[in-house]
Amino acid sequence: MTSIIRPRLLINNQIPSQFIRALEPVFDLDYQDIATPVSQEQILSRIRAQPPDAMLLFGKILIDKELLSIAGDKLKMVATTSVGYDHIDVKECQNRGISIGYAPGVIADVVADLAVTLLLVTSKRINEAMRAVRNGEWGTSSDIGWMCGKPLANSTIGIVGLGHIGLAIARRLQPFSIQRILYCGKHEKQFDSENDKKLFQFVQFEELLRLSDFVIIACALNDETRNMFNRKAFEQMKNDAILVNIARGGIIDQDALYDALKNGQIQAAGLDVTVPEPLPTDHPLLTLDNCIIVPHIGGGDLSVRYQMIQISVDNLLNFFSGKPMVHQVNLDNA
Amino acid sequence: MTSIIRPRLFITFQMSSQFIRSLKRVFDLDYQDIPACLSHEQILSRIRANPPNAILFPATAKIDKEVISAGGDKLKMLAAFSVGYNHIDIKECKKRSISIGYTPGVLTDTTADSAITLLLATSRRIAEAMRTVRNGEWGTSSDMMWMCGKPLINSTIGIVGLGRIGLAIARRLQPFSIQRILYSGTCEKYFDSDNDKKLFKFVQFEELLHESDFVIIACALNEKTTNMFNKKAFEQMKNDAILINIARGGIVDQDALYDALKNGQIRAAGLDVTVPEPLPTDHPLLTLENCTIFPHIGSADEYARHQMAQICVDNLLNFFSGKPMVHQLQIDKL
Repeated sequence: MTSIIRPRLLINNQIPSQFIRALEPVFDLDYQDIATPVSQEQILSRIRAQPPDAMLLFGKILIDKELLSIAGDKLKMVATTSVGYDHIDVKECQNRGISIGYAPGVIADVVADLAVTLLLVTSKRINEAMRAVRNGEWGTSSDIGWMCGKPLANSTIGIVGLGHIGLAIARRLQPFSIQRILYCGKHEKQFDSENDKKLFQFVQFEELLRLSDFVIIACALNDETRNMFNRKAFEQMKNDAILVNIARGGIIDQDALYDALKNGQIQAAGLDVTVPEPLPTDHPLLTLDNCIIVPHIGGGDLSVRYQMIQISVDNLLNFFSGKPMVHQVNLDNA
Repeated sequence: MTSIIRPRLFITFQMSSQFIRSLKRVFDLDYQDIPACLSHEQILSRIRANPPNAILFPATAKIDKEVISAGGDKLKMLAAFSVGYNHIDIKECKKRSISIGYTPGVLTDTTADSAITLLLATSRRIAEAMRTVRNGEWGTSSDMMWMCGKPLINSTIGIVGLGRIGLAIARRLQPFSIQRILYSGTCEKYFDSDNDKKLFKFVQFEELLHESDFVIIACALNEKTTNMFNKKAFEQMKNDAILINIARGGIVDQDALYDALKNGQIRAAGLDVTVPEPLPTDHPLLTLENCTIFPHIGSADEYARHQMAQICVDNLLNFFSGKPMVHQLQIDKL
């Protein structure tokens, strides 16, 4: 009698039962139905104990050389439920013949909404404003300049990385009477409408830094973009510029950012992403009034989360039945 | 020898020196260059001590019958540093033929920006999110639903009062993939484009409450709209609706709002305006996670405030040299 050995799938996070039901017929599951996050160490021990054929990944687990060598030859596929894959050593996966599924295309709108939220709350000093309501400061000043923020009208927006998310952010900012949108990245985009041709301008990174009132980071984290926002970058930015990061914390040198904010080299920063995540509660950035930090909530929409898990489940089911994934990371381009 | 008596102008709040200089050329000023807010009593005693020909005041100063009578016959003009005029006794002004200048138009953009800020900050739970970064809660939960917000995509927006500000808010929401915009008010607007005809729908107040995912109050406060958002209104709203008020606190019955928020009758509220202002720091609304309150910063950016101040100065200079004001309130029509 032939026994069919089902592939083993390690899932590192609690997921809605509908997805477990979809995976159970095909995979032997290494899954814990609890709401506490699992650490890198715990994942490594689970892999040692039961080497998986595939992994369904949430959050911050690093698919690095260490994990991959512990996983050994059995591991054939990694499905990350995110659109970013900077937490995966793509070269090492390529060397080992491991395929990577990911979940692009769904998250752009909700992340773009959060980018605009962060830009507005930062430029309007909402943290200070809400504090003034609670501590009685509201009403103590008749100065017409009290709690004034930086206006969007007539401003120059600079978007670093005009991909799906960057473009969705740009579209949301258009009705705010902005003057123009500069963007930088690997290549210039082709726009059809006359309006767009006038609105968007492809520039070098340095020019974007120099000319932008609002700088929004919307690019991927990779070897080229790591610590791109360093001391030199902050020196080139306008003193009253606002920086927004909804991409990855590693794109900013946080020590340089702290100094730039403290010394008034830029006006303020709004961050959805940091290094590490979560940020330690005693981190110097948390002492600054002109730094607003939210806990990586860019994708914070239930329906979007479900869609991204569905894509990952489909990626897994397809791969293990010899079909093409819905979305596979192209290892040659990555 | 004819002595020219210069008109006397009482300024109740702190303004930038450039405007004071412009006014000093024409007026004898009753002005103190300090940020402290004047109480109603202080305003009355200053008027009695030095009856002015004109008063320049922000929306926080109540220009009621008592204040106007204290001015006696000398008082000819009121220069409001606001677009709202609910704080002015219009009847009394009509009786005494007092002219009123105000500042519409120049604060439209920035107030609409603030409305969007409030809507996004409320729906994405920014106050809670920022708190979890500071108190260490970030990273302790792997729950799919953690910090999920209410999405704008495919939603129905309901705008109560589609005036300048209401329309500017609508335009800013269009790129967020909303489904449609319902609006209520005194009269239907005429739209030229087919897109707009499909997007906007004029409805009765009750239908707007019944159908909207986001309800935005952008109308004036007057006898008809006082406490318009009462117990009955909250009963008619969707349970997951978000209410935003950037108009005037008096349009919302705050006790009814507290109950509605506490009992889950609506999902959340974002208020830039309250009764009173400032809100007492022990007010019950401040105990609710799902109530976000800003200290009336609708028009708080330097550019808008500067333009508002310039219009006030021009209104005053024009009136007292026999020229038409830049913006005069048509009180006969009210």
